[in-house]
Amino acid sequence: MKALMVFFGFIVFAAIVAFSQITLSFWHSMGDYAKLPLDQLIEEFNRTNPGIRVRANYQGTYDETVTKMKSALLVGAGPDLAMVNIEHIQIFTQDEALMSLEDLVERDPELFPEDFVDEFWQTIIRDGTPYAIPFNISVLMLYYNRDLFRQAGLDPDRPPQTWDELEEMAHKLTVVDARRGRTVQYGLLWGVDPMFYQFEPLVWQNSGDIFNEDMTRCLLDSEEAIDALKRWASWFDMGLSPRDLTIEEGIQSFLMGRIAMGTVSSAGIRYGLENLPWELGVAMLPGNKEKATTLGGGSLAIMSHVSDEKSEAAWTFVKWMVEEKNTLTWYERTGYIPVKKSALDSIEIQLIWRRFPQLRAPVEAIPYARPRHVHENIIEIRSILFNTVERVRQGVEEPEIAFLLAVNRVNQLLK
Amino acid sequence: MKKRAVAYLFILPAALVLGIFMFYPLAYSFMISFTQWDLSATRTYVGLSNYRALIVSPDFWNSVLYTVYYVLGVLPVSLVIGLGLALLLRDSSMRGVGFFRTIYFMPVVTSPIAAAMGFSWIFHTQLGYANHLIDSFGGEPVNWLTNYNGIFQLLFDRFGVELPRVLQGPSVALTVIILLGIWQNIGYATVVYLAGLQGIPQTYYEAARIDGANWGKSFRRITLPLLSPTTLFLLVMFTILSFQVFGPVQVMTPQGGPLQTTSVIVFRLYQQAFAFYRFGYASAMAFLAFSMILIITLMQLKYIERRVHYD
Repeated sequence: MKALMVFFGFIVFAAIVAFSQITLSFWHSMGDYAKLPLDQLIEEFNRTNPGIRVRANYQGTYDETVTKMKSALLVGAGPDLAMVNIEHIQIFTQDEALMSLEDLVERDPELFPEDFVDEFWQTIIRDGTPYAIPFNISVLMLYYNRDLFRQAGLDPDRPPQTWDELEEMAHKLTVVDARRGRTVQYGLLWGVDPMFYQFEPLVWQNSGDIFNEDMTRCLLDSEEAIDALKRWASWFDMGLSPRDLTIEEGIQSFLMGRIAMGTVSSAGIRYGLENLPWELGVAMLPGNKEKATTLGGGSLAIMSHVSDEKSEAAWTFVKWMVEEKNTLTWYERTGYIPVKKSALDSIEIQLIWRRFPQLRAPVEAIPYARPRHVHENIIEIRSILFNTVERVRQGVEEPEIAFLLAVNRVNQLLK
Repeated sequence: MKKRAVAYLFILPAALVLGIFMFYPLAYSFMISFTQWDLSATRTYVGLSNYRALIVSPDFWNSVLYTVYYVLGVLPVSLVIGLGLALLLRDSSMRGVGFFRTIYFMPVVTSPIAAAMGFSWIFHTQLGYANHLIDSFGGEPVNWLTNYNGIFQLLFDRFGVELPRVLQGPSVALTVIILLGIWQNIGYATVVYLAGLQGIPQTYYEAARIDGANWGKSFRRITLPLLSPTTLFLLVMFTILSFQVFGPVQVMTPQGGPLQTTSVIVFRLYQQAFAFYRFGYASAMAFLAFSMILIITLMQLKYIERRVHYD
C-alpha cells in the first residue's frame, strides 16, 4: 500500500515537472559543420535552465527553411522560434508571422540595443521595429593556402590588398605544366553562385552599387558595375581562375590544395582549421577604389502565434544565446562574428585570437561589411543576375549588353 | 446489395490512401495553377495567365528541349544494352549467372542521390577518374560538368559545320547526367527482359532450327516479336520516369548546369515553386508537363501497340 502511494506520488511529481517545463521548438539552418556547435550551445542552455526545454530541428538551407516555415505557418503549425536569415525577415514580417520584439527589448533590464554591433542591429529592423536578434553573422573573406604562398615565394603574412596585387599574386600562384600546356594549379577562385553574394563586393569595391536606396531600380548598368564585371571575367580569361570547374568542383579543388585563394564565408574558418590538410590563411577581401565585403547570416526570431508564456521562455533563450560568453563560444567554434560590442572588446577574444589567429580578420572586416539589399522577389532577381554574369564568364555575352538586359528584367521585378 | 457493400469496403483503404495522397493534391494543384500564390494567406485568381506566360517563355521551351534530349538519350540505349545483357544472362544453368544478374541490378537499387554524388566525383574536371583515365592515354581532359556545347555540334565542329540549334544535342554536362540515367536503367531493363525471355517457349526455337533458321533470323523473327509487349512496357515506363528526372540534375548541377543547359522541366518547376515561391506558375508547368507525358504515352500505345504481338 505504501509502495503504491510512493509510486503515485512519484507519477504526480513527474507530471508536475513535465507540465511546468516549457518546451520550445526551434527551427534552424545550421547544417554540416555549424550544427554540432549549435547543438552544444542549446544543450548547455537546457542544462542551466531547467524550466525550459529547447528542441532544435535542422530544416535545411535558409531558403528551404523559408518554404517549410511558410507552409507550416499557413496551417497554424510551425515552430515557436526560428533562425531566420536577415535577408528573409521581410518575407515573414509582411505575413505578420514574426513577433515584434519592441516591448520585450524595452522592458528588459539586461539587453540593450546599443550593446549590439550597430551594423548587425540595423539588419533586423523593419519599419523602425526589431523583429529578431542578430545571432550568426558572417562576412565574406579571402581564404588562402599559406603553404602554396610559400612555395610561390610569396609572404604568407602579406595577402593581397588590392585587385592589382590579387592578380599579380594569382599569376605567381598559377602553375602551368609547360610540357602539356595545362594548368595544374590555379591562383584564384572567385566563384559566384545563384545567391550572388560573392559578386556584390566587387561592385562596391569599385564604388558602384547593386540597387538604389529604396530598391526601385537596379544599378548594374553603371560604368562601375560593368568595369567590375569585366575585371572579374578577365581573371577567368587570363587563366588565373578555372573556367571549367563548377562551384562545387572548385571548392573541392580548393580544399585539395589545387587552387591557392578563394572567397569563403567566415563561418567556415574553424572547420577549415580543423580539417584542411594545409595551413589556412584568412584575410579581408582585396579592394579597389574602396574596401568592402558582404555581410550575411541569420538571426533569432519569435513567431507571433506563440502564447505569452512561451514568448517569455523564448526570449530567455534568445537573450542567453547572445550573452557575451555564449556569442564568444559560438564565434570560436565556427567563425560567425560575436554580435556584441562588449564581446569584441573583451579579454577573452584576445585569448581566442592567440589560439586561432585566423579568426581575427573577420572582426577587423566589420567596418567594411555591408548588408545585402532585400526585396520580396530577391531570390529570383539574384538568379537572373547569376545567370547573367555566368554568360559573360563563359564568353557568350558582352558585359555591357549583359548588364543592360539584366537591369531591364530586374527592374520589372522590383516594381 | 450486401455483397456490394463488402466490395466497397475492400476498395476503401486503397481509395482513401490514393484519394488523400494522390487525387486531392492533384486537384488542388490544378486549382492553384490558375492562381498567383506565394504560400501566403492570399491567393489571387489569374485565370489562364500562368499558362499563357509559360507558352511564350523561352526558358520553358528550352527545358522541354533538354528533357526531350534526356528521354531520347536514356531510352534506346538502356533498352538495347538491357536486352543484350538479358540475352547473355538468359541461360540459368550457366555458372555465375546469379552473380552477374545481381551485379547488373545493383545500380537500380542504389540511391539515385548517392549514385549522382559518385558520378560527380568521377567526372570532376581536375580530380576525377574519367579525366585521369583520358590523361593516362594522352588525351585532352574534358570539362564534363561545365561544358555547355551540344555533343553533336562538338562532333561537327571539326568539319566547320554549324548545326541548327535543336540538332546540336544535349550539352556535355547533360550527357553525363544521361549516362547516369542509362547506368541506373540498364539493370531494370535486363531483369524485365529476362522475365520476357523466360516466357518464350523453347519449341519455337527448335522448330526454327529444324527449318534451317540461323541465330540472327530466329532472334529477328521469334525473340524480338515475342518480346514486343515487354519492350512496350519498358518504353512507356522509361518515358514517364525519364520525363520526370530531377534528383541527379539537382545533385550534379545544382545551379542548373552551364548556361542552364541541364535545367530539365522538373528542375525548373522545383526552382519556380520552392526557390521563387511561384506556386501557381509551377503548378501550371506541372500540368503542361503532365499533358505532354499523357499525349506521348497515348501515342506510344496507339501506334506502337499495333506492332506488338501478344503470343
